[in-house]
Amino acid sequence: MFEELSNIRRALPSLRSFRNLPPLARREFRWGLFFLSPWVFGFLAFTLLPMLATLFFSFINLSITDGILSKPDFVGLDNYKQLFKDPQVWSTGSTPGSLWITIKFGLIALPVGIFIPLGIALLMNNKHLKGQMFFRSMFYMPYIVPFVAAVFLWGGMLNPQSGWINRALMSLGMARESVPGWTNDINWVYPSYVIMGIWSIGNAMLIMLAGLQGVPTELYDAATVDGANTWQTFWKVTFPMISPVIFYNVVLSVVGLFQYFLVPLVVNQGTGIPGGTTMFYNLYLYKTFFTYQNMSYGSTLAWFLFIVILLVTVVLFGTAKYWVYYAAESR
Amino acid sequence: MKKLLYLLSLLIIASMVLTACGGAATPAATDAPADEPAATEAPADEPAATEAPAGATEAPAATATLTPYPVANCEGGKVCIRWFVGLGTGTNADQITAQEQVVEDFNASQDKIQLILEIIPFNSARDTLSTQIASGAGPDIVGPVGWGGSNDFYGQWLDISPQIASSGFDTSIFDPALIKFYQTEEGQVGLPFAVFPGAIYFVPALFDEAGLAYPPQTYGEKYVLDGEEVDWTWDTVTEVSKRLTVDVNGNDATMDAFDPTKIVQVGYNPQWQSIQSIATFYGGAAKMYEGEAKGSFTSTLPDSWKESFKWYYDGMWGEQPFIANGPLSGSPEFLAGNVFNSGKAAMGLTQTWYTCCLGEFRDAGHEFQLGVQPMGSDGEVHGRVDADTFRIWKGTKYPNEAFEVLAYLITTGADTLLPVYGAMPAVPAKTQAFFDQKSKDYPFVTAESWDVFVQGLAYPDTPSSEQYHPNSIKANSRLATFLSLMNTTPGLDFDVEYQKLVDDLNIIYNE
Amino acid sequence: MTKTPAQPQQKDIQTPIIKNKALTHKLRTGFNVTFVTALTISILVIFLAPFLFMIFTSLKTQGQIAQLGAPIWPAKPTSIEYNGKTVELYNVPMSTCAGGDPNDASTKELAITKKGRQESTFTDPNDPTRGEFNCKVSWRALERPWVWSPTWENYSEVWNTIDFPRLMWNTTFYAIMTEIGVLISCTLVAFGFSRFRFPGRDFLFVLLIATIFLPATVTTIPTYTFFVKINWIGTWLPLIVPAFFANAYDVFLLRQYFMTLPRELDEAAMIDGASPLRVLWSVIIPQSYPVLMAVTVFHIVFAWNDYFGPLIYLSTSRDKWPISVALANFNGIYGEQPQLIQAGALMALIAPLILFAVAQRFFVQGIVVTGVEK
Repeated sequence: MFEELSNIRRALPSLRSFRNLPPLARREFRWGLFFLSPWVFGFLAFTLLPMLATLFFSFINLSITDGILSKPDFVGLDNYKQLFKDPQVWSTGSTPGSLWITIKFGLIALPVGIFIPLGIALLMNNKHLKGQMFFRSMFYMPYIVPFVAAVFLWGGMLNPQSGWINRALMSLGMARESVPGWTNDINWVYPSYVIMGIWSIGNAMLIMLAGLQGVPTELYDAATVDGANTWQTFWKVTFPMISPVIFYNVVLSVVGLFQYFLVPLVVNQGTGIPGGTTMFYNLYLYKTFFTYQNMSYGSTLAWFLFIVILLVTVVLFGTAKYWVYYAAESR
Repeated sequence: MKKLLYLLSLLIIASMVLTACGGAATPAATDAPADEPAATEAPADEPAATEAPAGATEAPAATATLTPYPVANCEGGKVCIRWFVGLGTGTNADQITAQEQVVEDFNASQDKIQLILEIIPFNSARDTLSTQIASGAGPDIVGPVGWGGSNDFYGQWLDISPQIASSGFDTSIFDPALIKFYQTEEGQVGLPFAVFPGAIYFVPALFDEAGLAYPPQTYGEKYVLDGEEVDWTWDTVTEVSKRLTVDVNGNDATMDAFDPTKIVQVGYNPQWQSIQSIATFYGGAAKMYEGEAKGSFTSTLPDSWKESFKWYYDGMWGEQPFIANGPLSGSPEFLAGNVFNSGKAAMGLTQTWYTCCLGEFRDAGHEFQLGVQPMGSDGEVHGRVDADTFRIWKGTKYPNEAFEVLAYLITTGADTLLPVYGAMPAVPAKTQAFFDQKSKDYPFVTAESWDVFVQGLAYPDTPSSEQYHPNSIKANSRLATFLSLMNTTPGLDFDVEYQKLVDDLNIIYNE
Repeated sequence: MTKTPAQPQQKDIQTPIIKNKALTHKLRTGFNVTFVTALTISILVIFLAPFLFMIFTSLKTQGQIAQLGAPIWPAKPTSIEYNGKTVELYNVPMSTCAGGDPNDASTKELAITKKGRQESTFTDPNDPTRGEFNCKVSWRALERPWVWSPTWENYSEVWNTIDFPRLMWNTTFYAIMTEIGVLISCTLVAFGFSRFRFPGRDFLFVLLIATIFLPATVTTIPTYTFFVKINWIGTWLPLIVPAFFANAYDVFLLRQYFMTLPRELDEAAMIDGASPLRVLWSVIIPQSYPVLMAVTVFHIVFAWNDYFGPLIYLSTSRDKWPISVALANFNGIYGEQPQLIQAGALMALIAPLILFAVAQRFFVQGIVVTGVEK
């Protein structure tokens, strides 16, 4: 469906020839715009302006203490030139840049963030499970915990000295010297973040569950009658039917992972420690923008990220036609 | 880049065109319930539409177009002054109550100004203030804030000399040296309010158990170690600290059997101190850079600072540790960094403000006393005195009214505020009242202990460890990263990392 | 429905039920139930361990949090009165004590009267005649008898310190107001994106999704400036009004779901002369309860924990603060109070959790409706 993106030029003239559309198409056009209007107005009122403002900042020299309404000091493409040779963004030699760090972590975290919620949702939707309501609430609950409480909580779970996880490992016979150092340990810091992420999968699980419950029951009956086993039923019925919501989760996870910064900011004080492994792109952006008060370079970093995410998303939408099944489009 | 711009302008034009069409199309369906939310919000929507282009596309002179900061609860006919708390102390529950009381009293005392309190949680205060200042909507008064916090917004503070002159404020109540302390390149940016001398907080019970004498409570007094009189130097503190660092088996850090992975009590902790502060206490105050202009700045961290860092690092990771390393001090049992409060540090070096927050420590059955700051290897006491005050944002619409509030806060309001902030009054006459209040909170602390703070005033750090240095925010951030690195990394190649720090500072200073 | 993955077949093949087979079936179902439920419980136990940590922390004093060697639950060392002082009990191996038999493997609960590094002074509460005696043992390494000692006062302290009822009211108000806006506007917009074909639609959809690509970090200040300019700071308006104009997350989700609904039903309704709004109301929404509930819960929880927005827009009106902002104040500069944060977080959790439990009835209903209508 995203091929339309490349067809913008074709789409625009057809806007002009609105009057030439057949009456039925015109009716559909009008109604479509009517339904879209809340968002279009909201976009123009609340979203477009701030976005354009930050784009503008990327072409001037601006610090937070200048105030954004000060007289602009145009620097042309200087900020972008700086970006393309910034060693904090791009890897140099053996030092990883923040962009690569983000991608590397994303490649670990993305599959986990899709398959575990899916697995739990399948379990929650299993007809053999007694007390579904209770279990769903329990698995959803961690998602509600406010971040400020979760930080101390994970300090208590993952602390190398007295954290519950290491206590459990030691009681299982691991030596005190060989237990992981978790967030202080260069090899364990990503797994630590992934574990924290798994804990609050409630939302993704809920969305998957909503998808699962929308699968018409007669499809399962039919599959059973056809003699399909559980595995076949999953791939032939369940997966295609919920592929749109899986797709939704994939897209949002990708966006979320590119913008990952709060956990390293708070858990590792935003310093990149251990060994620079936690200096994520969006963390670097945040520090540039708020800590170093460099609004213009921060905005430049943000618009570059925008382009990167846009490209990745376009690719994702491109793959969608191979695996995402929309019942409404099948005619 | 060009492609991006092309794409974007297309996006924008297209959305405009579509809205135009959409606008034309919607009236066709006026009965739609969908319109309702939009319709009820319509009055709100309209200014949005008209304001929008003016806000971003044109950028006239900074303050000319600004409307006074909109405060929903501002009563008519009064000047509303906003007081921003959060860059330093002031966000604990009892402090909030006290500040609300001061606001209430002030508002009742006159009828021209309405004072509005903004209390922002510490972790978000900097970002919030940045957002407000960048939007041209900064608060009128900011504080209490120390040099570190105010330097993050260097250039944003109002020179209040005209207000001092026009209001006839009596500055003779302050020590002239303290007034001068607030004269910077920006002008007179504040008046003295609170001073926070440093001291060694110690837990007598832990000294008793180890059979060690308490730290001296008078500057110049000797310390008795193993029956001999020695100077209260950092070497002495280090030795005492090692004997006060204990593993689970009761071995102290000087013993062969000591197990550094099972530390249950540490001898020493620099409580809530920055890396500059740690170095200033140990190695002495120093100017961190020299040079006059960008391009010529160089880092001038003295060797004594490098030694300080090395001492601190070895204190955590050396053969005989006596300071809690990152993972240990970050554990819940050591209260996630608030180590002295956990009762597991025999000594904690920190300032007066720490008396704000030892209620839980007291309730857990612990007691503390105060000892003097130690001497460095040069025979001098490298003390530190923090100073907090209130400042006026230079973008304020009402500088005179803001000053009136500021004058109230540092005089009448101070009686209520100083004790809850844990701050020594800058006005000497008020000192005793402060200690009386503190004695109510901590009845076990002796008069001799409180007097250590008074003596500590004689040992300020000049230049302050919170001094301004070029590109200071980024430079401070780099220094903080070095501290984190030391805290969390065993087996650090210290010299290499230190050299990296200096090299980075030289680059950052000239960026 | 030509491309539906698995075509439903006629279900009229009535298999004759054999008694034995029914029994096997029952056994198998029983086995499955046991297996699935046991599996879920074991995952849940691991999953909820952090909650146990939260609950235990919320019931401790700071002294208990800092207590080394204590059990994970809120515990207090046992103590007795001795010569007018409170002294604590330790399990001391008797072989280490003065006059003790080196081969004596027994331990006794003794009260410590003077703490020392390698040697401490104890007394036996069950044998006061023995008086005080020394044992060569590090008291720190000793096991101790603990008693369960929760500090329920943490909850009342939170309740009183931050005016909990008012915060709950503010948070609920904020959540419900924005919820209404989100549900109405996002449903309409998603319906527009999923059911109408017109030139430029997909382009607008790209634009919609693209609004979340730019990190919120950089748009915060311009957005704030905009609300300053229209005099909305210190009011609910900057938080509530935008909710009525749809957002990418919810529109995208609803649109994805609507796309899974076959078009036959709404086309039939259209042919019968129903207006698109009628179709949305009578055909699409009844089939979408699960996802609408998901969006409802999704958004309520978002609003419940929304922090930076309320913080900056309501900074001058602290009486309007929601719970998320107030909780952060327990995280002070010179000393956080983890026990109060955890207690407050648990208290704040209750309302969304109840909502979630209630909302589940609609999930179930969703299945019924789709089952009936198709």
